[in-house]
Amino acid sequence: MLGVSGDTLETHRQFSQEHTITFPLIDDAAGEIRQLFDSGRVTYLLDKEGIIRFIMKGVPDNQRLLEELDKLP
Amino acid sequence: MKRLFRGMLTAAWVALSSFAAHALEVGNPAPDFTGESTRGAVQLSALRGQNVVLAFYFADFTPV
Repeated sequence: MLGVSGDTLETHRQFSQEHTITFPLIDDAAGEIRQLFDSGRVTYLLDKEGIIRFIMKGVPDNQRLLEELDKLP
Repeated sequence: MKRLFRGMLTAAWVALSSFAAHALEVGNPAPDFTGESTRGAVQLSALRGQNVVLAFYFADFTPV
């Protein structure tokens, strides 16, 4: 699980602490990672080879994501 | 005038298309990237062998 936003590491650290987030939040303040992917709120499920297996646009439906994750080999 | 309008529409379309140049689809390899994270440096390709949930969101401390 990786989170990416345009926030700085400092903001990410405060956010992680406040919400007990243990997975990495990546600093993309420069927007360099974002420009490689689709714009907006979007979540990708990648398989073990790094291939995109599911794309969810908009606010993520966690239940659905878990179901799709279960389908991955 | 009509021609100018059509030209503007074409220009707008070209601009929008270039925005969507990275439209990714299921089956595409995820573009590799490196970045600094709250857990140290992360390189996406170093996570091969694991399934990955990669979530882009707008900003910390926002409801979406």
